[in-house]
Amino acid sequence: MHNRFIFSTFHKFYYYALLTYIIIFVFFTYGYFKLPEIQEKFQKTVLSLSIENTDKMVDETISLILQDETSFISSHIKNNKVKEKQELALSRLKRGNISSVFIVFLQKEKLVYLLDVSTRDRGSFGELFQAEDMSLFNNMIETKKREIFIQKGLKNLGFTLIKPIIEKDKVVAFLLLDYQQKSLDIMISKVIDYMNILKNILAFVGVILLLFGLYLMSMMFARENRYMIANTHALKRSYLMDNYEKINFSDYYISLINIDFLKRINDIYGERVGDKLIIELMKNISTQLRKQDVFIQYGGEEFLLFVLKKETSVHEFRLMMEEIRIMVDMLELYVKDEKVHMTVSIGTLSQSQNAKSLHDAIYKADVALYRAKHNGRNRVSSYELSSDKRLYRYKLKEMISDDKLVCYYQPIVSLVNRKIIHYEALLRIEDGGKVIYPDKILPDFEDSYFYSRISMKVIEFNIKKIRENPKFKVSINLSSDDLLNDSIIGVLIKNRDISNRLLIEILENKFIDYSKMEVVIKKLRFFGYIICIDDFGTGYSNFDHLLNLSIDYLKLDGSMIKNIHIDNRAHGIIKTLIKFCIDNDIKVIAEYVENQKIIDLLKEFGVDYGQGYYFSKPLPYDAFYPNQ
Amino acid sequence: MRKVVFCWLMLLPILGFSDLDYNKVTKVLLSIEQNKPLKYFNENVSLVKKFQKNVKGLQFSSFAEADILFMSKIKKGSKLVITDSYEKLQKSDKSVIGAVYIKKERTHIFLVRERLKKSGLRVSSKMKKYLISECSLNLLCLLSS
Repeated sequence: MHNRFIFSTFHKFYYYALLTYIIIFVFFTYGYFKLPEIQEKFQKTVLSLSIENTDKMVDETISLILQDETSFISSHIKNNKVKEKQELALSRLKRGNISSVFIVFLQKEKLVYLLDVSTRDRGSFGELFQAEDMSLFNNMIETKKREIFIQKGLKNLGFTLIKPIIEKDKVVAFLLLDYQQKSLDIMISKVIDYMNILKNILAFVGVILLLFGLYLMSMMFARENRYMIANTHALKRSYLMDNYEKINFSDYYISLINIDFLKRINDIYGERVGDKLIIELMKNISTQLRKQDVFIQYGGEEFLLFVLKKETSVHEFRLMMEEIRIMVDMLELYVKDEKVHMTVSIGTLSQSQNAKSLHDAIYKADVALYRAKHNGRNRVSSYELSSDKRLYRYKLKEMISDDKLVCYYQPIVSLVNRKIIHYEALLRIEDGGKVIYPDKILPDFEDSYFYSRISMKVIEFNIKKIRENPKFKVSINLSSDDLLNDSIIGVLIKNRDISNRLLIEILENKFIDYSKMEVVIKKLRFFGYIICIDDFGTGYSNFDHLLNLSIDYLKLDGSMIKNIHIDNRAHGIIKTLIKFCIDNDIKVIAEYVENQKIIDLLKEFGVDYGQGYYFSKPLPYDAFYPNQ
Repeated sequence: MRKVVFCWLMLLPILGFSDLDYNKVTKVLLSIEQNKPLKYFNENVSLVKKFQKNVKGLQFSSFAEADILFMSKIKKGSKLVITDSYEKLQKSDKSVIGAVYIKKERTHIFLVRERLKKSGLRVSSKMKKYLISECSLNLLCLLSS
């Protein structure tokens, strides 16, 4: 079980409040159930004060009884005169509210009547007296102090005053005065009233305390639920955001764990299954963690892990991360009886004390994660100082989010009349005066959700340009994953009025689910979009697919074109390919057109359009439309 | 005069055990064990009901079937008796195994250890405080230390 709110100082308020509440409640409950005992003690005090005069008289009587030098009990038994004298002395104590006055002594662990001057119901000498609480008498032998015993459940008997008769510093007998019930009622009726009021107040306060406790617990529960991801021990990102300033990150090793190729899993099995698999993965990762570690779902497929440095060496931390990686790698996950293999890449930062801020620490872990991804995924990579020299995902993410993403444009020219038919939008990031190219951006985001976010930004960027400039016609590159993304298709359908000026180039450099693509392409064509297969000849190119996908353009990959005039094999393949396209009414665009020789050859083959540095390198929009 | 005596005789069984702490008495009586469940007899039905109302489990039966009689007037016979005063207990023969009575508003219960043993009866250790020895009933024996 994780210490879920290890960073949350606000949570401490609830913790201490609940602790205080529990202490108060325990004391209160203890007090409430101790109330009868307290009441009895209080009653005894009141009774003690009420019978102070009688008490003095009893002491005097005992003094009278003990005047003889001989043993009090034996002289009572042997000497009738003494007995009479004792009876007389005892009779002085009889009052209207006292029902019995008698002396008992302890013999063979039983109380035996010695003398009874009660008006009625007298106990005979030698008769056994059965006390309700024998321990009381035994205690009095030790304490030698008087006791007041409040009788319970007896109709006519209220309480009994018990005085020890001490002879030669030893308790030899007990003098008992039974007070009638009405005496008790008179003496302590007020006490009972006050105690009843106190009892009611305590009961009321108790209920209030109970309700307050329930409120506190419900608040804690709600707070816990707000941050906890159901069925896992992981926390939501909002927890990190809410406690950002409170996190003492230097006390922790920091790891960023990223699920490899999650998007691919989502595309194949659907997002719902993907989410279930993430939950399953989180559950399993949690089992590898300790109570003091903090596990946060940082993004859909990315988790942030804080491992407490105390009692963990750097070596142990790395071992722990490696164990997590291996555990995920070996994890048997199933979707409808089909085994799904998942892996994670982990970036770690052990020297978190060198980070300037938590943001910086996470960035550094992300740098390490980038390296793990870049080196082939399913591995743990640690942050090193030299890593800073490279441009990493984290910074890229920031730049993309900060709208530093722009498009450069390269014209596609008719080889016949050299007229520009449209432009291809090419992704760039402008960071001050520096331009970052897609080969430094896209590979690390491939198969991640961020890739689709980039694509969406490109679409939005170009839609804006098209709407601003009625003459502007542009093709954008979308991956097959992008075309299976409902949000992207939604935006394209929404902007169908400009579909004749927004061409879609499908990247052909990775595995494509052609059956799904066929449906999407038909849909886009229905809305008027022109479809082009990009980089044909580099990926999983297949002639059958070309026919089935019913595309408008085919773009021949530059690597095939640039050597066409010197490589006979490339020459032959391209010639065949172009013939196939012409026969099937597919227009061909050749990339990497770098010289006139290539243009002449392409024209000879019947290629319609060309693109390359011979015509223009990719330039900012303003270079083509300076006044727009 | 005869009528008055008759009425008093009729009332004796009721008065003898009146105002008892029935709960306490029943618990003590239930703790008396033999090989079979013990059956008690008292001629006063309302008293029996009072017993049964408080703690269930104490079996009352007819005189013939009873093992122990609740009697204020001790009849000599083969039945064991629990009487209603300390004095009667002191003066009785070995068939009277104990006494249950009110003295100074308090319910007193005494069971004579030797007599119980002789009748093949046992009392659980929890009820030890109600057991007295035969010696306790004899003043000379009691005072000799």
